[in-house]
Amino acid sequence: MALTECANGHLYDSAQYASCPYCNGGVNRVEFASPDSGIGKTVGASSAVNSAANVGEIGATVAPAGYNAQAKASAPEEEDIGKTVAVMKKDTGIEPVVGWIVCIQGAEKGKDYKILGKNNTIGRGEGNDIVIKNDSTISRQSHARIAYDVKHNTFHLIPGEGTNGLYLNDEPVYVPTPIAAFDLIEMGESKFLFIPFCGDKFNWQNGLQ
Amino acid sequence: MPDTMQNANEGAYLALTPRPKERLLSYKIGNLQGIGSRARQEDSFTVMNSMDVTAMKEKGLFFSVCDGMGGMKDGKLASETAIASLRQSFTEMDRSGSIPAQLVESAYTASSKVEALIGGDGGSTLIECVLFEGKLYYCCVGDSFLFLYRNNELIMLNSEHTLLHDREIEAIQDGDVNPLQFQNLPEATALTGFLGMIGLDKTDSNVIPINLHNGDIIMACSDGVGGVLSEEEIKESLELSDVNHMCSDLEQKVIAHHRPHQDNFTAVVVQCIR
Repeated sequence: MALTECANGHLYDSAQYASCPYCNGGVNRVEFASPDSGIGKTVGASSAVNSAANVGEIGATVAPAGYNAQAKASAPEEEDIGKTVAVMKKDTGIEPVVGWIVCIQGAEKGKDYKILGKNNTIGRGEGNDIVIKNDSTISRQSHARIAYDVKHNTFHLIPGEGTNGLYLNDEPVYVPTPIAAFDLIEMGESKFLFIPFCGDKFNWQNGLQ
Repeated sequence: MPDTMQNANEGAYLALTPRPKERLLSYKIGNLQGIGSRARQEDSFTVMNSMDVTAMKEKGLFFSVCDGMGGMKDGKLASETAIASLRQSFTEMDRSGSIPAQLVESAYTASSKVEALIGGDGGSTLIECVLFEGKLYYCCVGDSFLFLYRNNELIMLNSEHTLLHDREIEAIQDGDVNPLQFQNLPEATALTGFLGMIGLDKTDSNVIPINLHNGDIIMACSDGVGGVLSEEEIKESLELSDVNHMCSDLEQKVIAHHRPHQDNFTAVVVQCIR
C-alpha cells in the first residue's frame, strides 16, 4: 500500500495503479441490473446507453418540477460521454464520432470502438474512453491514447502507461505519431485497424466537402 | 462567562465535553467511489493536504464530496467545476479570519461558477469540510450526507435541502408534528437547494466549530452511500480499525445491496487519532 494524493485530491494506492483510477470517472463499474450486458461490453456502446435510458430518471438527483421546465425536458442524454466534456461537445452540443478502431486480432476480434473528438484513452479499465476489457496484456488505465485534432482533422497515436508495447505498422511508438486510414495498431496481444471518419472529405464543423 | 456561553451554544449542536488542551489530532483519510448502475460517474470528490503533515497542521485538511445532478444537464461538469472552485477557495482561505464565513462564501462562489457554466439547468450537491486546529467546520447544500461517528453513535450533521425536508420543517414551525402527512408528497426528494441553482439562498453550515475527539470518524458521502446503507451498516463499517478497511467495507456493502438503480456512490472517510 503506497497511498498517494493525486493532483485532483483523490487518494489511491500507487503500488496498484499507475495513475489515479478516480480521475476518469471511477474505477468500480459493477453491473447492477443489466442482465443483457455481456462481457466485453464497450462503455459508450449501446448497452451502456440503454442502461442509462432505463435508470436515468429513477432515484436520480433532481430539482423540483417547477424549477426549470427546460431542464426536465433535456433530461438524460443519449450517449455515455459524461467523463470529460470535449471541445466538440461545447461547440456543437453533441459529442459525435470522428473515427473508429476495429479489432482484427486478439480477444475482442471483430469489435469496433468509437473515437470521439478529443483525447481518447485506451485501456482495459472502465474509466477509459475506449475499453478493451478482455486482453489482460493491455494496461488497465490509458495503455495508449488516440487524439483527434479538431482544428486540423488529424489523428495521433500517443503512448500511455502501457508496459506491454505499442506498435504502429510493426514499428514501436515512443512519441505521438500521426496515423492514417488502415494503419495497424498493436497493443498487448491485440491488433486494431484505424478507420478515420473525419478528414478531408467530412468534418463536423464544415460538413461534407 | 463567555466560556460557558460557548459551551452552551455547542451543546445545541452536539453534547460536547470541554475542549481538551492536548496536542493536535492527526487524521487518516480514505476514499471510495463507484459508478453503480449509471452510465457515467457524476460524483466528484477531493481531499487536500492529506499526505503533507506540515500543510495539514498549518493550513488544515480539506475534503469535499459533490454529487452532480443526474437527469439534468451534465452533472459531472457541475460537480467537477464545483470541486475546482472549492479547492481554489481553500487554498486562498485566510486562516486568521472567520473560517465558517469563508466556507459559506466558497459555496456561493462555486455555485455562481456552476451557474455561469450550466445556466441553472443543472448543478451539484455539496459537502465540504475543513479540519483545522482540531476543529471541524462544514458547509453543505442539497441531499448529500455528512456523518460524525462518536462513542458508537452515528450523527448526521447536515440538514437536507429537499422538498420533503423543507415541508416537514415548515409544518413543525407551524406546530404540526405529524411526520406521516407528507409520505406521499410528489417529488419528495427533489432538491430545493444545490450549487448552480439560480437564486440559491441556503447552505447548512456550523457557525461554531465542532471540537474533534480522539477516535472520531467523519464521513462525507453522496446519497449513493448514505441513502443506500442503513445506520447499522455504516456503523459496522466505521467500527473497523483502519480507514482503508472502512472504505472497502462500505463499498462492498453498497455493491452487495445490488440495487437495480444504484446511483453513483462516493465517500471520504476521516479518522481522528491523537
